[in-house]
Amino acid sequence: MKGPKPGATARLGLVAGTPVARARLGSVLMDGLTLFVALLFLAPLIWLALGAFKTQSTLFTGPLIPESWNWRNFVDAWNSAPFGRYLFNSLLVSTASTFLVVMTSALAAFAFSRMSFPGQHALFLLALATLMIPGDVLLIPNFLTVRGFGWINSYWALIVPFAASAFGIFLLRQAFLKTPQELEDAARIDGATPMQFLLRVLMPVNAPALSALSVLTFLSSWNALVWPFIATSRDEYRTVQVGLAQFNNLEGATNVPEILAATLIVITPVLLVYALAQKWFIESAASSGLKG
Amino acid sequence: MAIARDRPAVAPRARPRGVNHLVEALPYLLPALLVFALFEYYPLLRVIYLSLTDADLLKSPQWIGLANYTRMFQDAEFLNSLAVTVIFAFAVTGLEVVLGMTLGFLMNRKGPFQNLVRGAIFAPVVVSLAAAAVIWLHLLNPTSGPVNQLLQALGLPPSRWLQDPSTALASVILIALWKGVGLPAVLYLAGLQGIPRELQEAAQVDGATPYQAARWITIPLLAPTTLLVFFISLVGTFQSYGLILVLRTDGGPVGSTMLLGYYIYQNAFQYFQMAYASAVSVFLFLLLVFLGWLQFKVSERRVHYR
Repeated sequence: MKGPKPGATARLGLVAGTPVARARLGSVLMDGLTLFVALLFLAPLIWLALGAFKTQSTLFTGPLIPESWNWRNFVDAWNSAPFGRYLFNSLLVSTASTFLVVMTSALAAFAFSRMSFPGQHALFLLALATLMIPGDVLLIPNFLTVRGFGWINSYWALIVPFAASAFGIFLLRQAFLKTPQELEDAARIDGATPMQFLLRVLMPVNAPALSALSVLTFLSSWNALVWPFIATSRDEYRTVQVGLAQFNNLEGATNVPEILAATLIVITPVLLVYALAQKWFIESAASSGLKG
Repeated sequence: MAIARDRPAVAPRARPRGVNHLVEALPYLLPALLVFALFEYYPLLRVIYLSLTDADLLKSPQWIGLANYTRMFQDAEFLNSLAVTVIFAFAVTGLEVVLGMTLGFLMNRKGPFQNLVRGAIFAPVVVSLAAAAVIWLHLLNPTSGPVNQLLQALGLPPSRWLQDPSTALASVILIALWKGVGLPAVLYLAGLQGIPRELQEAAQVDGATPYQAARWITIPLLAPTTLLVFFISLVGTFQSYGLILVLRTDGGPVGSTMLLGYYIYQNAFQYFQMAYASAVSVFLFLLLVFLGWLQFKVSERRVHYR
């Protein structure tokens, strides 16, 4: 880059022309740009949070900040679709899936990291290879399987197909391999069975890896859309994402603030946890490279 | 307890192999392997089988060989869907690499808004696809939506966004980027933090401008991250058709947002053409396997930094 022309430097004055001042100006500009980018990403969420309190007539024409805070939208949304039930279903399905993924992953990771048996390498590759099979390719056969079991419109359909995770096995195996062998030796001298060692020593010691796996599993289960959409047709078993999509389709454009209120109900639990543990969320995602 | 007593107190790491050890390991492996067998490997074989039949939801399937595949490659709707998917996938992936790296630099820069910008860029990643689609459906409302109002306030022409065949796919790309770019940004942030400071300081001492340092040192050192982001994004975009379910474009207008995933969903669950949709699924699978193989090859040859 060439420096400013002498004339320009003279007009800006001695101080503005010094490299230090120029660097400071650049730094302020970059701070401004950073703030602008942050607001750009937050803008849709801010619009959602404010719009949920407006009326249909003021949503698109009124001021950005609502003049009166219209709490009725939340009551109406809550009453016009069984959101309580949806939230309960999502909580149940996500919690159960997360618990099962953590358990099946820990058990398998234990065998893959701390035992030695014929076919170990081949079985590990077989488990990892499932990462190469995208769930959407299996939509049709899995639907037929689940229908064959009579699981359509049941919690089983939403939980059991997601009860194991190759990523979970991989993540926990890495963690277990790093745990010192001395711990296992000590546990064995104390008379612990392998299962006792896994549950009472190995898993607690690797709490950070377990909790990263839990959060990522819970999040993807909570946010799942296409499979629950296909596997359920009755409100009793619908998750909150399907309920929201359905509510949006039924209400159409007649009462947008009510839809926004419903959306806010759906995303607030996750965003609240995110706001409290943002740094840790980001680190978990960065370490996994998983698509949210 | 018996198992524990039978073993020497301090076991060597590599224990003798044998069938006994497999029997011992099986209870630990079975839960996960059963799920994989039932919901990954069996359905993979079944979808390939279905694609070679005339199955629908009612009658028992008859073997028809490759007829579904020959129909597929003559079907203008499928070919359109493939084109839309390829455009969508490469547009989103390219933009996620470029924007992800730029935003990663921004997130890595020390300043008063560092925590805010990190939290803001990643926030849409934790928001569900359904919620993102609902929010943007109304933000992009063609008659009175806030985005059009903003454009008009800036003196720019409004757009019909999702309702115009020439802008609908671009609108979906915009939504996918808002929702998805946070992850590549965070991966780049992690990549940037892994680069030793001494390298950049050495470049400064040697008189490199910030642009030169980025072009010749930082960006080449981020090559492994770029490769990871490229393929995570590419494979992810082939599957991000959930948006279409909620945006109610039904693949339109005029097929302009007909992503392959939605095409499969529509044929299988709206037209009940299970066999034909299975053939499209198998095609999608082969495409993704090919991309995975490509990633392996490229990372073997091109990326030397670690």
